[in-house]
Amino acid sequence: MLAMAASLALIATVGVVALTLGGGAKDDLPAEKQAAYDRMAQEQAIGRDDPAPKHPAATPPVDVPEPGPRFPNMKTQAAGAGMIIDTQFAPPGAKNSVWKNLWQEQGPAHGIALYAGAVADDPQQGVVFWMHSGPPPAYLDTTAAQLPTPSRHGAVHVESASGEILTLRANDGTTFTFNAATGQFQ
Amino acid sequence: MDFGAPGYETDDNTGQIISYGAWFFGAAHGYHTTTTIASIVENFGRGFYDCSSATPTLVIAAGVASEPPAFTAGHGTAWGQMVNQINSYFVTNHYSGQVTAWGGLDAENESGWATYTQNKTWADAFSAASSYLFVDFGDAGGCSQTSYNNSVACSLGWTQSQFYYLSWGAADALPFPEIYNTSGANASQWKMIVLYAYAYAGAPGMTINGSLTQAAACSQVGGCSGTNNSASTGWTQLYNALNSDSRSAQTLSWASDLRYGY
Repeated sequence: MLAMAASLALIATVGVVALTLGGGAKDDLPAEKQAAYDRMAQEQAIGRDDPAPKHPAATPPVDVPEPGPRFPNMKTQAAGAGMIIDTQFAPPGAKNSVWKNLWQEQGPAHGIALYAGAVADDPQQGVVFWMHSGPPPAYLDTTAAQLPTPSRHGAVHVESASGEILTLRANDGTTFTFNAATGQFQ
Repeated sequence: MDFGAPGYETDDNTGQIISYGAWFFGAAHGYHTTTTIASIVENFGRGFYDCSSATPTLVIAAGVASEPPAFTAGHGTAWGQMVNQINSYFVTNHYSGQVTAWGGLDAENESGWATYTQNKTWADAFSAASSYLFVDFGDAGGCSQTSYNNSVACSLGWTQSQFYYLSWGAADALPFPEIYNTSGANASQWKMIVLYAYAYAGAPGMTINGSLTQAAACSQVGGCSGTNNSASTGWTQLYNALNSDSRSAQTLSWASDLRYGY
């Protein structure tokens, strides 16, 4: 049961594209794509001819080999209720922005992430992307917000934290205080 | 399912890469291997199978963003092999009549993201390793909305021909582009790329698989002005753009909308 819950947590915390895509082959497809569609059709036929029984009330026995999180090849440091992660990865869906680092909390009651950086074509404008989710391992009910820094002092990074109160420092040395619990600058 | 940025881990002693995977988004940020990701997709597919009637079919696209530094040929190969493994699971367990896995690539010309060459390397490696397709669910940032002769540069110096290759020219690629912009700009950009394929790339049959929007994600963020097309609006914009010219006219079969979490 715990393993299943862990897996659901992973599903819950990725950006999900619930795709129901085309399964039918198109006319005049390039050979490689046609071959892939043909293979898919063949496997669909195999499955239709000998389908597994349906178990709508079943609890799948999920085996998650690594509950995570792990941070190979990435610097982390404890900071307040969470940790600062030295990553420039973008938050989901962010456009026209560059990111300096990330503060993350995985507490018993909720998960919080705060990405810090700047607007790409307006580098004097700092920006943060805040995500607040339900408790682990599922991290459901995500809310998020992308917020500019209250004043323009360049890209910001998370410098330190006390509990869920974060100190962000801008390129010119200006500091901002951000409440990660509420998702607002103070 | 967008699993975030590509990743890998190395052996502490030898420095050799011992696994590929992805860095998940948000509060669950952390590295997870392709083995774990395969397990997630398999169980999502199994859940769909068990809880649906015998009629509907589902293709799950397991995607990553085109972010360095682990966005390499090795990662593309590992991701393609992962998709093979997932489909083997669906076939072996008799779910394949209703569930199939594809790959996914969020190819974008964003600051700090991978170069075109790195994207091409990944797309070619995936295609060589996988027996299944992948969708390019990225954008065509800054590309022309009115010309298709490849002479007007897109953002960061990218070209229409490059977006054409990543979404259709690569052997296993299918376009499923972001149609976020409420003005219709994204739809016009992709019409021009289809016309480029028709007129210059010798690929008159470039077929857009579907339209991707982010309305649900926007609602979670509190709005994103100008880029919050609904699924139906995005689909309509793209369909109308493509079918306003006989050279790009086609059926647009699908639409999908993003949200954070599930």
